[in-house]
Amino acid sequence: MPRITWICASGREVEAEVAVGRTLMEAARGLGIEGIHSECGGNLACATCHVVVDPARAAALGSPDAMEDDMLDMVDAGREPTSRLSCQLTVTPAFDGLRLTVPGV
Amino acid sequence: MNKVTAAKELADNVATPFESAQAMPASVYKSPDFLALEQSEIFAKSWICAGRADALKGPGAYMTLEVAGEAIIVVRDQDEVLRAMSNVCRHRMSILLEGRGTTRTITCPYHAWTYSLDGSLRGAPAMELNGSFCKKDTRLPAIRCVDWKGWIMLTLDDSLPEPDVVFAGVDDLVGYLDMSSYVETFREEHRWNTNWKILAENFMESYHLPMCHGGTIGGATKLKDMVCPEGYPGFNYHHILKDDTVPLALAHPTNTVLEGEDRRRTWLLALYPSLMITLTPGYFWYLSLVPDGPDHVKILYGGGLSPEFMQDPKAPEYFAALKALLDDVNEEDKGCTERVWQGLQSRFAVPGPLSHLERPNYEFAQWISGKVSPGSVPA
Repeated sequence: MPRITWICASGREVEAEVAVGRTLMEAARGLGIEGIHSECGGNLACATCHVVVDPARAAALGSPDAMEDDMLDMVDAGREPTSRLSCQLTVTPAFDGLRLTVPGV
Repeated sequence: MNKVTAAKELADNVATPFESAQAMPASVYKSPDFLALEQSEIFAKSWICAGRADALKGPGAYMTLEVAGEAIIVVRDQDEVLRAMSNVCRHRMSILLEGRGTTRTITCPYHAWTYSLDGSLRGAPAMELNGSFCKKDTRLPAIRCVDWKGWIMLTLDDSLPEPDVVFAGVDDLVGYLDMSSYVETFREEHRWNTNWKILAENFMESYHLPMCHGGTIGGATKLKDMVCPEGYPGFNYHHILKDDTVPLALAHPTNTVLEGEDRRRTWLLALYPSLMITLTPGYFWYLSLVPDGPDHVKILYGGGLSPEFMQDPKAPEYFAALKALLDDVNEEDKGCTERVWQGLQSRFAVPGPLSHLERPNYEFAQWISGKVSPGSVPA
C-alpha cells in the first residue's frame, strides 16, 4: 500500500500506509491527524481538510477541479500554490511516498 | 380572552396610582394572545440577554437560543468578534446548531451547507448546476448583538437605541462595581411551569423573602429595613445590606476602593423585560428569561465572582457554598412561582393590592402596558 506522511502544524509527523481507493481525508480522520476536520463529511462544502502537497509531487496528483478550486479560496490558513482539499484526493499507487503539510490546527 | 381585552385590562390596572395599585390581571399571564403581543411588542423589540460574553471563549464558541420565536446563534468568530445570526439554513430552512459548544464551521446537519463563523456561506455540495445559486450572496442574516458590560445583549430591532441608552441610570447606581470585570463560573438552563412575568416579578421584590425563603435566607431579612426606590425607564432596582454571614457578598479585603456600606451592599436590578441581576461586591448571579408558552419560562441561570475574589485561593470554596445556597433559594422560588401559576387557573383568581415593597412590580406592569398599548401609560 502507498505510504503517506502528514506533517502537522505542531511539527508532529505521522506516516502510514493507506489503501488505494481511500481519500486522504478519510485516512487522516482515521489516524486522528490534527488539523483535518472535515466538518461537511467530504462533501466539498467546508474546506476544513486542507493539505499542502509537496510541490515536487503536486503535478502527479492532477489539478483540482473547478469546485475544489473555488473551495480552496476558503481555507482558514490561506491558500498556497499546491494546496488541496484532502477529501478530493483518492489514493492511487502513484501516491506512494507523498508528504503532506497540514497548515490547520 | 382576546389580546385587546387583556391589554385593555392591564392599561386600566396601571392607570391606578401606586398608592392604591393592584397586582396585574390574571388575563395578562394566561392569555396566549397576550403572549403573542408580548413576543411581537416586547421580546422582538427589546434587548434580550444571552448570558455572559466570557462564557464564549475563543473562536467558534457558540450558543443557541430563541428570541420572540427566532432561532439564533451567538458565536465568537475567527477574529474573536461576538456575532449573532439566524440559526436557519438558507437552503431548506433547517435549524443549524443546537445547544452550545465549539465549532469550526456552521454545517447544516441536513445537506451539509456550510457557513463560516461570520455567517457567510463557505460551500454547498453539488449546487453548481443551479444558475440561481450564488455563494457570495448567501449568508445567515445577522442579528444585532453587543457586549454590554460583559453581558451578551441581542435584539431583533434594528432601530432600538444601544443598551447604554435603554438602561441609562445603571452606571449611576452600580458603575462603581464594574460588572464587565466579573467572571462567570457557572451557567445552567432551566424551564419552570410558570409564566415568565411571575418569575420576573418574584425577582423584583424582596417582600416574599421572609416567608418564601424561610428555609434559607428569609430570616436575615427585615421588611421594615427594605428600600424600594422609584425605578428608571428601562429598569427597576432595590438594594439590601448584607452582614458577614456570606463572605462573598462583601468586598474582598484586597479591594481598597469601596468604602462604608458600599462594601456590603447587594443590588437587585431588573432590566426590562427579562434580565435579572443580583450584584454584590464579591459575586453576581443572574436570570435571563424568555417565555415558552404562557405556562412555561425558559431560564438562563448563571453567576460568578468579582476580579478580587477570582484571585483568592479560597474563592472556589466560598463559591461552592454560595452556589448551594443559591440553588436552595431558587428551589424555593420555583415552588412559589409555580404555585402562583396554579392559583391563576382558578375562577376565583383576582388580583389583590400591592404592598409598598412591590413598587418595582407596579413599574414593571406600567412598562409592559406601555409596550403592548402605546399611549396607555401617562409619560
